Amino acid sequence: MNRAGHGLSLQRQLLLWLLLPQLVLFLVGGALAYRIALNYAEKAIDQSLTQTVRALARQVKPVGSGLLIDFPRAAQDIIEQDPKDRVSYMVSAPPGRFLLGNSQLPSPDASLPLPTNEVRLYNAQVQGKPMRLALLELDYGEPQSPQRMRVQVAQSLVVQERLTAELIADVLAPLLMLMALLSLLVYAGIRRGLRPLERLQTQLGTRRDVTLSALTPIELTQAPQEVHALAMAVNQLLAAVQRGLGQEKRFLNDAAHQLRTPLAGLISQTELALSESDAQALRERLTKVLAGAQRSAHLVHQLLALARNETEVKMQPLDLAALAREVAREWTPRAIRQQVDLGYEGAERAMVLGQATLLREALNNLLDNALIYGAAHGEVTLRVTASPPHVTLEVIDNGDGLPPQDLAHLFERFWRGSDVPGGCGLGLAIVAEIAQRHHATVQALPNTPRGLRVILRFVAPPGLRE
Amino acid sequence: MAHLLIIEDDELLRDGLGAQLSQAGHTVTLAANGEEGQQRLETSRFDGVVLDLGLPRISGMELLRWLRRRLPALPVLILTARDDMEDRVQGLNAGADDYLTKPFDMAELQARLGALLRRARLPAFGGSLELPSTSQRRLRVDATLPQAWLGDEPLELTRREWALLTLLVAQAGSVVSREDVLQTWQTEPGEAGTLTSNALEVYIHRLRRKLADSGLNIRNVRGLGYMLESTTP
Repeated sequence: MNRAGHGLSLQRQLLLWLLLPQLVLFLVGGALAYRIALNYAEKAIDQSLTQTVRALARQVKPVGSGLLIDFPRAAQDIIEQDPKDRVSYMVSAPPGRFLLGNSQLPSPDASLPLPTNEVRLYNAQVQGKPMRLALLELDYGEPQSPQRMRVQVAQSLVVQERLTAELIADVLAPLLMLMALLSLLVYAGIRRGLRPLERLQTQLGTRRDVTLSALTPIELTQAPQEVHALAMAVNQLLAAVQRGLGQEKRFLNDAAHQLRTPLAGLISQTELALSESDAQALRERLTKVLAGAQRSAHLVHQLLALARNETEVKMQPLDLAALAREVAREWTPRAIRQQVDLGYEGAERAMVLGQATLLREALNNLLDNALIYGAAHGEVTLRVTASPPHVTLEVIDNGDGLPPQDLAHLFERFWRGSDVPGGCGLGLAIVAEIAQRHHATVQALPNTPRGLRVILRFVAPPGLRE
Repeated sequence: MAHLLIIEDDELLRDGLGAQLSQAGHTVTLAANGEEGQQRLETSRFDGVVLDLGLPRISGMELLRWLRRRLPALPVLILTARDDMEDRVQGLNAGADDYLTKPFDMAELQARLGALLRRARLPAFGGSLELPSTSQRRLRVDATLPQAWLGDEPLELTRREWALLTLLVAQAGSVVSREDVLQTWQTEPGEAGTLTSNALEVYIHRLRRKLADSGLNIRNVRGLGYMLESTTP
């Protein structure tokens, strides 16, 4: 088998194109959901820290050049209520000198200015733990000696970590499971969908021999429409090939037998001629040898014509009337020798779609037949008529014709209606096949008052009609 | 009658062809392959060549091309065992004048060869041509003068009659179509207007009268055209 042009299997391609985009979509969706949730959580924390730092700052009141801190127990309880997620705080004045609080909190990046009465939010490490901090600085004291105090509140980022874990558990895990399930479904669907193709492959794959049995039709049940159509097309082709192969075998058989006969005659006549001493008798033998050789030559020519008819040919627009006249002119010397009046009548011009060599062969066979089986000193007429959409070609003789029961066999291979020597029973079969190649019908009718009339009816394509 | 070269590698066929064409009155030279054929063509003058396409070494087609470069007007009839279109078209394109498929009828070969030789002598190449007949008043045509005689008597012919006669003589023994005659007339200098089949009938009738007792007849072939033939079978 030719592997050069093979790509990925259909199954792999489908899986790749269905699952890969799905995976990417899931991953992007998950990452996005995670980022958005995290952002909201951060905002919530920041808001609560801002409120807390302002509330705490309100409890610190400047008195003269000192500070009065009114920090009731209840407020302290609220701030310190969650033992796992404690809020740390620190009040310092001047900034950095610890006044009050439950832990030492670090200063923010000193390079940025700290405006008064504005909350600043930042991240920092407190006792080795990452924390989110809010900071507020206020001025107090007498105008001649201004002082500054700082209030800081910090919350551990454990909340954020917990939120992350929850998000993964609540969103990403179901997403992943959904993805796995979908993948499984897609895979199963593809396998199921492609199974008829696999069956088709196993049915055809085992056929190795070029025998008639290898051409039996494929059997497929419960296959989808497309596969059915494919199988039907293959079956039609198989049937045609089977018919053709059978025909060829029969034909080859017949042809070999047909060739055997004149060859046997040739051999026996030559042997007799060699042992002949009388000149007149020798002459008679040699005349028979010539006739035998001519018969074999004729048969070989006809067999080749059949073989040629089976190869691909290109149909072209051609003038059937002109072709018929041309062929008839070529036959005129022989007709004159036989004292037969060969003539043409009908259309000047009649276009058909055809192949000149094949049509010439058909015309040759028809005229040959008419000259052999027509009347001695009789008349043979070739007629082409155009009556759209048909173009008709007729070869008419005024010989003895054929009885009606024989007319049906006229176009069969190797059927012979007479024992006139020289024929091989292929001429009109070739005509019929050439007609078939041209989608033309062929018909033999008795001619009135006597003789035979062979009619080929072509359908001229609309573009060629005049 | 004519000096012919037969180039054919099959001994049986070469021998048979040679003998039959000699019997027909031709002088025959035989060549068994392309090289031998080239030698003969270089050393002698021939009136026509019968060439087999399926030769060993130098193929018939090659030889034909070689021959055409040297002797563009030499009539060549090719023989081949293959009768497919391509071979035929190729052969005619390479410069063959006619084509026969093996096996062929000897009478067919002689008729085709005769037509080729006549045609080569008649129109543009000069030389005179005498048609064989049993009559004392044989038709002789000389394309260079141009003049035709019956026996020793010159034939008085109009321009159209001359064109018609040369066409019929060149293809004696085969049918000349009406279209061919009308076309030849139309290409003659001084011709104008349309010519009808009726006009042609008139000319055929006149020519027939002029050729009376020449042993030649112009046969009217029903629906196909005209053919110059010998009245004696």
